[in-house]
Amino acid sequence: MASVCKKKNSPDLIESHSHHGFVGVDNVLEITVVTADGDHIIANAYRNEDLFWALRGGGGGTWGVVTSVTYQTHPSTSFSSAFLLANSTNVNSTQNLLTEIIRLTPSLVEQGYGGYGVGAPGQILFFLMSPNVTAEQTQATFSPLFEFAISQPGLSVENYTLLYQDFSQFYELLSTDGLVGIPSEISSWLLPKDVIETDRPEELASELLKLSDFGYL
Amino acid sequence: MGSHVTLVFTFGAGVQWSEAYEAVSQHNRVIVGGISPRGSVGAAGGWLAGGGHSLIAPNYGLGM
Repeated sequence: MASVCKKKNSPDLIESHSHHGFVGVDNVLEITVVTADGDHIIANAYRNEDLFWALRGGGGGTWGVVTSVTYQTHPSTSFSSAFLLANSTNVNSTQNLLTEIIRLTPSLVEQGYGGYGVGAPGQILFFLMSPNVTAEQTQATFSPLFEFAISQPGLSVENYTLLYQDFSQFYELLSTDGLVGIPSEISSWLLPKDVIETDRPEELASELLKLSDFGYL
Repeated sequence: MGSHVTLVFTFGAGVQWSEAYEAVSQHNRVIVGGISPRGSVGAAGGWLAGGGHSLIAPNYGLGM
């Protein structure tokens, strides 16, 4: 399982958005794939490089049948997380909360938070976590946002911050229930930093809320 | 261009993310992967073909 890997910088379909010392790191190192002509081949940075490049982001069902993927790993670490769920009967309050989330986002990116969020006029939800901050720092970062949400009329708010000792502790809690497979059609944008760092976050919030539902990563 | 030694995992098609995460954590490592309830999505498949976003990608890079 342990392996010696020689790595080089290879072009990616889109540039990695990592920014904490792992810039440009490719987590996948090798893929084996059966191509349309029936060959079972190895694709990596040195063999079938074009196919290796295409398989990493080029969409499913296009290049062949993948039979295995080799990923690199990273040292286990704790993760400090924050959760917010706000159900809303007041669209102005929803927009005000989303405005504050947008205002906070550049700082969250700087602190290494990643996660998932969804929103609509009737609901804002996010779960974020970072390996770079303490539980106290997460509390300090999110408390003002949580207090703002609670202060808004028409919002019913649940929130918490929690420290996970490692990724698997988080994952075990996540994996207890829920459905897989949602009949949704998804499209996406990469929003440039200058769009998020707008001096008019309320306008960005307003535009996002015009979508039927939106998600953010 | 450089070289380094790293611990890697190879997952065959059909291995689900929940199984992948469990195997990696037993070696006190973490891997960039996808999230779904019960973890029943394949680890060697379409997640990567879409570029491979993970909630830890901001620190460790995309899956690709």
